[in-house]
Amino acid sequence: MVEAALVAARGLGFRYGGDVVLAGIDLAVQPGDRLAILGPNGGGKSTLVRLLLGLLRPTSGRVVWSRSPRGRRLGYVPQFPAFDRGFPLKVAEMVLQGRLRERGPLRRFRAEDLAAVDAILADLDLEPLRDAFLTELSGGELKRALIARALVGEPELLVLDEPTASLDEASRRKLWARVAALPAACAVLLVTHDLGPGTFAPGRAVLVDRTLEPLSVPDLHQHPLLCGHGHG
Amino acid sequence: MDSIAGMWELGFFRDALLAGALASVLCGVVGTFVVLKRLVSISGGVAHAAFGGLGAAYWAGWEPRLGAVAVAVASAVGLGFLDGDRARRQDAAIGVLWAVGMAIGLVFLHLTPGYAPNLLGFLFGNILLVSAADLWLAGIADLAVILLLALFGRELVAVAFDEECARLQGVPVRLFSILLLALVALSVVALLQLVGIVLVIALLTIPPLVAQRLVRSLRATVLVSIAICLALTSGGLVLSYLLDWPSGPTMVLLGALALGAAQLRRPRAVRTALAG
Repeated sequence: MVEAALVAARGLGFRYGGDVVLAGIDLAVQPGDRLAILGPNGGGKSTLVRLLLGLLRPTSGRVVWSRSPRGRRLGYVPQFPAFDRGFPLKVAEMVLQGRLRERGPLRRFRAEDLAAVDAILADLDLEPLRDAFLTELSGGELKRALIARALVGEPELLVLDEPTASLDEASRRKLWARVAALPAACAVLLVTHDLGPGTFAPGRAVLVDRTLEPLSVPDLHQHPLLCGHGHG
Repeated sequence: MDSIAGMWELGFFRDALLAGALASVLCGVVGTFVVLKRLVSISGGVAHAAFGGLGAAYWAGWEPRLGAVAVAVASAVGLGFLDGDRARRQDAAIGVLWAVGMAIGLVFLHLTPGYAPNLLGFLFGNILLVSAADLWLAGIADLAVILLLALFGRELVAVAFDEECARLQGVPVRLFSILLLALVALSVVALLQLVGIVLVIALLTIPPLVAQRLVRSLRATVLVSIAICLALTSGGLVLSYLLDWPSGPTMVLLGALALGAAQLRRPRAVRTALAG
């Protein structure tokens, strides 16, 4: 099964200084997977997805991709953006960066790239903000713009790291509707503490707290690590 | 007025104006990236490391600018490999480069027989002594910057804005980061004759900082930075001539005044957030 995986972690470990963040992680993500990643704060959930995406280097084990870096189509909504919001970019310009791979080097963006941006902005109710600068956005608006950037490139792997934090209810519904409408082959990894009914429908789930263990999806809504359940 | 009219008669003054114009393209384009990607301390380290190359080349009897370019680019590329997780090491490496570059330059200056006025000129700059080689270097640096921006502008902006997103989009982030640092190094050396190593950072940072107070888009920031740098170099040149002040510091002080004036401008109205 691992051979057919889109991406697989094999004996993956990560240390920060002397602290073990993750150890002995084995995980295979298949095309079309809908995987919920749960875990306590500081359990290593974000580190795991960043390792899978190649944004961090593992200190042990390895990440194996079915494609070369150039062939991958990735969408990523980080928990905390790594950029400076003072950078003079408009929302539409930032979202267009999610199509850089489509364009390839030395080629201008094409009409279909711009059309894809228009479509995703309309989908996420961002059309009125297309010419707004990033400094002008509220936290929720910025998160929606990041979601638009992650989706505009039609990813085969979409990683959402706590995407609903700072989103209002209408925006959450829009997001989950958009995720549900993704092509069946697109794998989705969701890091979350919020998995109520009518949100993301995972095909499987794992608990990450330094190590990884599978969780039963039918019992997931009762899990104490999810908002509104257990002892918080 | 007679004084100003008289300046135009002087060939070296016209050369100085041309040098200022060529430098303005570098300041506007590269300076904007320096400010936005927070490469100011790297630029300072590279500028001071370049002095070591200048001194060594001067001592060996080679063209000092070539020594400066070689060391500046090598330093920039070396620092480019110390990014990401190794950012703290990069910060320390900048400090070491800064001091060691100056020390090497001064030692070679000491070892070179006789007085080396040209080398001291690189420390504080003198645009009125600009040579044909300086103009050629600035022109080549301008061409390199314009060409690379035309070919890879979107990738450079993506890397400057959000390295993680650029990496996920398949952009060779390290390559473009190093390319950006190499452009900074080339610009620093091209600007040395104008304001010198000590003041070069001011010319790379003040115009974009002023521009950011005046305009919003990236394109406008670059274009306005170029215009401001042109105003600073030519205005500073005229002022230094009239006041009999050194040209480099006059340009920088004029820039500081412009920056102060820009800070007095009311911040642009920020759109009220549409959603909560």
